[in-house]
Amino acid sequence: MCFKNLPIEFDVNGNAQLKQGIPDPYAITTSRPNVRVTDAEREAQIQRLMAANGHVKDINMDPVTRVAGALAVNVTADLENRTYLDARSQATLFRGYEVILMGRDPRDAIFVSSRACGVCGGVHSHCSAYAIEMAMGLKPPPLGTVVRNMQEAAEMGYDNPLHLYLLAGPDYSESVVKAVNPELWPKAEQWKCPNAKTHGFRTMAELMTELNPLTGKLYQEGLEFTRLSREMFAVLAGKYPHPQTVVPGGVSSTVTMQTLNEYHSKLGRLFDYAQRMLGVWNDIPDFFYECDERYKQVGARPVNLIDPGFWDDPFAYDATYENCNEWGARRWSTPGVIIDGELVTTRLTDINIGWEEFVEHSYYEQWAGDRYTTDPLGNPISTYHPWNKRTLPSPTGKSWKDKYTWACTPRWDRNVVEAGAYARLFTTAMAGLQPHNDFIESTGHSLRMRIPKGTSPQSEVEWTVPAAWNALERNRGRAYHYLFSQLVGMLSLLQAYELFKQGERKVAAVPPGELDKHIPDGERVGMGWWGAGRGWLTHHLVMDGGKIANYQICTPSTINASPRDPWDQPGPYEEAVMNTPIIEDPDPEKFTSIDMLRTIRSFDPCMPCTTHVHTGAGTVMREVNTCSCGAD
Amino acid sequence: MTVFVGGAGELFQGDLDLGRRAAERLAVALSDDSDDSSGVGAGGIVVEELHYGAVAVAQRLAELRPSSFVLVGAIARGREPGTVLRRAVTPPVREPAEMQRAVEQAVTGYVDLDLILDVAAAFGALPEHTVCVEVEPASTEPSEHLSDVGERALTEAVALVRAELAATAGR
Repeated sequence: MCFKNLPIEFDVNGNAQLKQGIPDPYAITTSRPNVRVTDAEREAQIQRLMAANGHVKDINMDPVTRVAGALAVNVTADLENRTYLDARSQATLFRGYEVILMGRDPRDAIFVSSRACGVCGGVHSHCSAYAIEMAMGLKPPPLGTVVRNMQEAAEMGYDNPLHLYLLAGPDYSESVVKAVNPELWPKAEQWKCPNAKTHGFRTMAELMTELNPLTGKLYQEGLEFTRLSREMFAVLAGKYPHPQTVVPGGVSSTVTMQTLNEYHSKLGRLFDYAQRMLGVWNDIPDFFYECDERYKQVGARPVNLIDPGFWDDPFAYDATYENCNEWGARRWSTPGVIIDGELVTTRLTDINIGWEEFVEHSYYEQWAGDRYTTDPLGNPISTYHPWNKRTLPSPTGKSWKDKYTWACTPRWDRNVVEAGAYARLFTTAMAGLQPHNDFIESTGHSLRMRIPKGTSPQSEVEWTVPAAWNALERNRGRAYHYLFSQLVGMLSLLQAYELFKQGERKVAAVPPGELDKHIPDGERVGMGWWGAGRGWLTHHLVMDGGKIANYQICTPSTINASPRDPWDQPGPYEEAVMNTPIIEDPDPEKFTSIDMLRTIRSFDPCMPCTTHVHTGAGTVMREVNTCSCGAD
Repeated sequence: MTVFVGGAGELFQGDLDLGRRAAERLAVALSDDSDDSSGVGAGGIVVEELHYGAVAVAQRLAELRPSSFVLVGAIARGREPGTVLRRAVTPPVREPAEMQRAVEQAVTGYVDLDLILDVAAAFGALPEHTVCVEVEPASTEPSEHLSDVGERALTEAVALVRAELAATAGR
């Protein structure tokens, strides 16, 4: 029984149904999560501290000033007690793709939704194609699914090092550490890297120096390897970031043995790099923990993670909702929800029917009426489910008690869940459902990954579910996800060679020119359960009369940047910041909020993000620049 | 000796899409001269649409090592709409933090002429002879079409690029 808050139970056949006798079962007042602290209690605590503590009293939470960003995180900091008392995550950009897509040919969604993100446009294209082909009843041929998997492995190969070395890495670089954590530098000079043989840097100081923006070898190498992965994607899709070769029912690429060989030659070069990456991102957390145990609390939050799975079994995936639990369980990364460290479900239907999106604190009007009360299998869905949701923008002034962001508030079973590439490691490791293969083995608490021979000999590494969940572990997890995804690329490539050997060449259910004949007139729903470099990605589609009647995109950063929900539960960024201790010098003149920034960046936020802290001595402004797909 | 001609546009953003269209026109106009499959045409001219990202453009420049780089596109600078200007680009000198910020913006999906030049300069990839042909947009609202002013400016910008190529060949 995976639902604790929603009034859903299962019959003996595993079919979900609403509990009997509960009027208005999805009402906010009916099904409530267990909330630890309400906003009123939090505010009262701040007021008490302000009365007793001059340092808090002096803090003036300035209204967010835009600094070329689309997300702001406003905090109340108690510098004397070195804590963040409150945090608010604000997406300041309206995305509007759902509005743009209304009434259009569903195939347009593949190209339009891709533009939601300048970094990960391929994942949106594919996710859209999944939603459309489910609605149209088009099952891709095995090679089409394999090519999709290969493309998306390449896209992860682009995305993960980009974040680790260009966006998050500088926070751990010599130039930043010397400036904001000077007490760490002498230790870094003395600290011998346990993985020196793997990455080549004798001390942490040497490693941090190579993380310096623009000049550091690790920074430059990160850029170079993002290029290789981009080329791998382009070999299969023609171009990146916005492919033109994604179609409902597969892809329209011309795939030849030469294409596969080109992909192979590039992929083979990534495995040595993946090993170096693991060495770097294993040593950084260990150094920080050894220097100060409090770093385990930076960005900490409960292990509440969600992922819809990624990369399909070409022989299991049939594009139907009816069989989604079967083909979902065969994905290379297993779908799943983890609540308080426990894997509560791996079924895609559970993930879907437990999903709701609220707008109490967002610049949208609440929509009226349910289009659907059940999914296509008869499982109950909420008024707040994406198939019912309508995007009704309604910009107003900012009010922390009312509306303050363009991000909505996705929740699963009314729990605050976090999305991330690393969620795939958790769910796959804990579920033990991954199809047997030569490279990845799930043990129930870890993933053993066998790295093919490159310049280095074949080797095996293991990612273990971490005891603490925090900013540093997010980065470590992302580094392991890089290897994981490239191994999926290798598994898929081997499948492609095998299919070629069998004479398979078909990559789409129907030729693109014949798709018109397959667009149904009647009302249909579909959804894409897919993934991005930052985790969860879903597209929910309703089509009617051959046109889009509703379209809802939910990105990982929408989840992570979400504001308070109707029960005052903070979103993941907000919660992680409030759990972060202030370790640096709290002198307002020197305060940089570095660990708050490390926290925010550890999520790989996918929107131009501005975080402001007003210390009373001056406004500290930093930007976390990413793409714009986190807003609705 | 390779001349790299790039158009950078913002897809379907009104006149800001001009660079992409300019690259398309120039590619067609110069395609008859193409003499091999490497994309390097007669006279060593390579034409590409460059919206795919400033870092990737810098890497492409580093790969091609062109003797000249001609960049064309629209950018709002408050001039008279439709104004077409040619300017010789001196590699911008930026503080490391500014360069890092430009790279961050580039890798996270921002696209514009200045960003391409800043990032290419940050990586030392701009050739000594770099020229930017830039157009002041009349409309930056989402649209699949250029405005009438933009259309006229596109014709003028393409002519200016061709004149630049002719002059480059004669250098």
